[in-house]
Amino acid sequence: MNLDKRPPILLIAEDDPDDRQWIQEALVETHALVEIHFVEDGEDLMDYLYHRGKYKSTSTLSYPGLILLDLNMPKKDGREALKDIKSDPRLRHIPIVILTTSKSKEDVFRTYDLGANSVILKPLKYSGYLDILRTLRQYWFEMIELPL
Amino acid sequence: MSKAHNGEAARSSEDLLSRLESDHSDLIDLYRRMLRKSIFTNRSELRPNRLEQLAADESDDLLRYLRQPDREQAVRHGADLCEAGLGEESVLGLGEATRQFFLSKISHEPVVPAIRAIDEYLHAVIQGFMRGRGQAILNEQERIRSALQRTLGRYSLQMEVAASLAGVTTSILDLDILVTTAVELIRERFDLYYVGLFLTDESRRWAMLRAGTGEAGREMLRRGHLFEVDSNSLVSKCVVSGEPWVILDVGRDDTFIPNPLLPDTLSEAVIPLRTRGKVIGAVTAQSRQVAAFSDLDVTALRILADQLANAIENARLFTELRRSEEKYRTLLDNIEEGYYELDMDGRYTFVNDALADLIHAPKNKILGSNFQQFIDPEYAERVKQAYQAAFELGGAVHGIEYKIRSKEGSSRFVETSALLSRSVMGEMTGLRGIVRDITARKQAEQYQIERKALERSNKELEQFASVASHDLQEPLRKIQILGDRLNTLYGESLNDEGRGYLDRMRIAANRSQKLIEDLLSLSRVETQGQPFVRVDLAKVTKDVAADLEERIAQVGGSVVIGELPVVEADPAQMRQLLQNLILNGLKFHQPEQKPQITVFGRILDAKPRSVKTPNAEALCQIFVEDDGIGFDEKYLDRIFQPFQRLHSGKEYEGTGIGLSICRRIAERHGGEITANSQPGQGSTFIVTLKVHHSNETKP
Repeated sequence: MNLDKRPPILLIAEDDPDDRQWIQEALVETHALVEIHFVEDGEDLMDYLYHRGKYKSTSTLSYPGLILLDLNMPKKDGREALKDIKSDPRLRHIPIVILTTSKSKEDVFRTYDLGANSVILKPLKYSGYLDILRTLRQYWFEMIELPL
Repeated sequence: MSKAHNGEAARSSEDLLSRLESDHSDLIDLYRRMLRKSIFTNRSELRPNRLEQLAADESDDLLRYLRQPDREQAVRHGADLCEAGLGEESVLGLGEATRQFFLSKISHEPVVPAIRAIDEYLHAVIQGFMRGRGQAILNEQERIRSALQRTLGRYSLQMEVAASLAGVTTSILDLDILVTTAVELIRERFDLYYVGLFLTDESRRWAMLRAGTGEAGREMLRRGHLFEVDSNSLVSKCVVSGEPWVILDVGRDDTFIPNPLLPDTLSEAVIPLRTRGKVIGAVTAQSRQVAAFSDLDVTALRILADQLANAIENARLFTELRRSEEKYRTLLDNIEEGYYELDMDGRYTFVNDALADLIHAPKNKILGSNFQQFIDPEYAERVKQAYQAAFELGGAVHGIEYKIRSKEGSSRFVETSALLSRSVMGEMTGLRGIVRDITARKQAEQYQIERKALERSNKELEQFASVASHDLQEPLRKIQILGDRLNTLYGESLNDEGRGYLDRMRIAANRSQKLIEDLLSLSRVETQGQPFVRVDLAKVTKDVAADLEERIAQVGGSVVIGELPVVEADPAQMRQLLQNLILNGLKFHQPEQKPQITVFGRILDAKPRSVKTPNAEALCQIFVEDDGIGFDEKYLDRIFQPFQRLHSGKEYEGTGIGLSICRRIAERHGGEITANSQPGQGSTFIVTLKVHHSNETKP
């Protein structure tokens, strides 16, 4: 990882403010060296990625290094967003980690089938978030090379 | 006339007579020549010997008169000449010849008295002749008049008979009654001895007697009287030629073949029966009189025969029609589809066997009853409207479906299509239609509908599962995390009571989470089942036992695996089934006792399950035996219900979903689950499954 460069952007698509708060807190607690950005639903996510809507003027935006995607969101849900991203040649290289509450085998299979890079069950304890974000940081931002 | 004069005349007459007698042959010769000359002017033919005779008679007569004048006799003689058929020319010729003859004989003598006598004679003869001639004319006139009268009377009578016969016969449609009536009527009205009617067979090889009058007719009918068409009989000739044959005097006709049953026949007329240009038979009319059949009689009989032939043809066609209709009805009774005819009031006028079977009522009860009586009330109005529309718009009824009314509750669905029936005159007479049993199709449709409903409800269940897994779990997860945060960040600042509440809240949330997950797994048996493949149950049981190794060790138990069959099943569900049952046995062990679970199975003898499914369905049974605490069998139903438990959570953990899932899995595999148990005596769970699943891989 090149420290001269700007830290990678972690884009988090999550409609629930509580979850967003816990994720942010856990990020701070795990000292992750990433720039984080939240979007609140699938459409917001696509606007961000395509620099449109409220993200039109923010020319400094660059592609995120990783997207954390909640499956259940209003307007456009995570599955649809996932499908759109993975079918667009300009976006499909971005790794996507899914956060879900469904343990159903079928849901999990379907999510991978749509091109998700990982599927993580949402934790039932706050410490679960700490574990998840620590692991994510180690794996995605320290161990492997992202297509930045 | 004076005496002297008479004496003188007599004298000269004697003189003349003696002369005449010597020249007698000359006079006869003269008469003969004269008669021959005028022979063609006579009123009737004179044969040569008759002419000879007349010439001699005439000469004798004249001489007799001259000897002994008798005026009356001379007049009679004239009448006789007329009677003999001589014409005026011959008679006047005879007179002239007589005069000439005497003048030539007595020219040199003044024999005026003699001449006068001859003139007197001739005068008397001509007078007699003319009188006879006048009478003959009168007689002739009378004969003609009466003959004319007779003929006219007969003609009008015959025409009347022909008309009345035509009236009677055309209204009779039964062939046998028609021909019998016809021969009787003809015999009676024409005053005949015997009338017989022959019809040719289809091959036109035979002309068979179909009706005959009187005892003779009956006897001939009994004997099956017939003629070969190709024979010499009158009937045959008539049939072949198509013309009437008349024998006026059977005694003088060599071709007549006498019939011993009709000995009195003296004349016979055979009239052809013609219709549409072909001869279909003949009528023989026989009379006890010679020459009973005039041309007029024959004409009247011909007219009559023509009408009769048409009536016979009609009756034949009608009989044929009726026969073909009978055939048609018989045919209708043998078809599988129902057939019916309704009148304008909607009453059945005909139903075939198939429809009677469908309606499940005897025909006599159906006929005359309104169709609505046999239709399920729910459908009656719809069918009625369809029929009415057909009547009013003159159309047809296509594929109206309805249910047949039944007491036994066996619901037969049928479909009917009907057409308007019309009479020959084009008037609507009702409806005729067919009825098809569509119960099987309806059931299939119903099954499809139910299947669709089931699919929909499965979809809904899936959606529910999705809702439960995400939306319902989401707030619950929040409660859990918030409880966790509260405990982590502020647990120490809470007093014991506060921490107690917090703990109980977190336990309740966890249990709620577990319940939702269990419910989901129950619904997934149907919604996320996999296709059936061959599964070795022994291997699955071994795998399960290996997975549960740690758990088994915890309680110090053991799992004994016996023989188990290979079946077609959803492998994941078989695994879940066996795992749940084994876990169940491990859980409910006797206190202070090491549980032992025995799993074994067998294929049941292939026996038909019922008459309706004669194809044997192979079944297998899986037994999971434990030596645990057992249960009272009165709770048997309860233990397989979701979340129904026989023990509190304190005694034995769990939500009570395991056995419900087992039951769902068994049912999805076309089987069932039950158990044998007594409290304290352990339990045996018995799962019955179908070994094969043809074409019914469930979603």
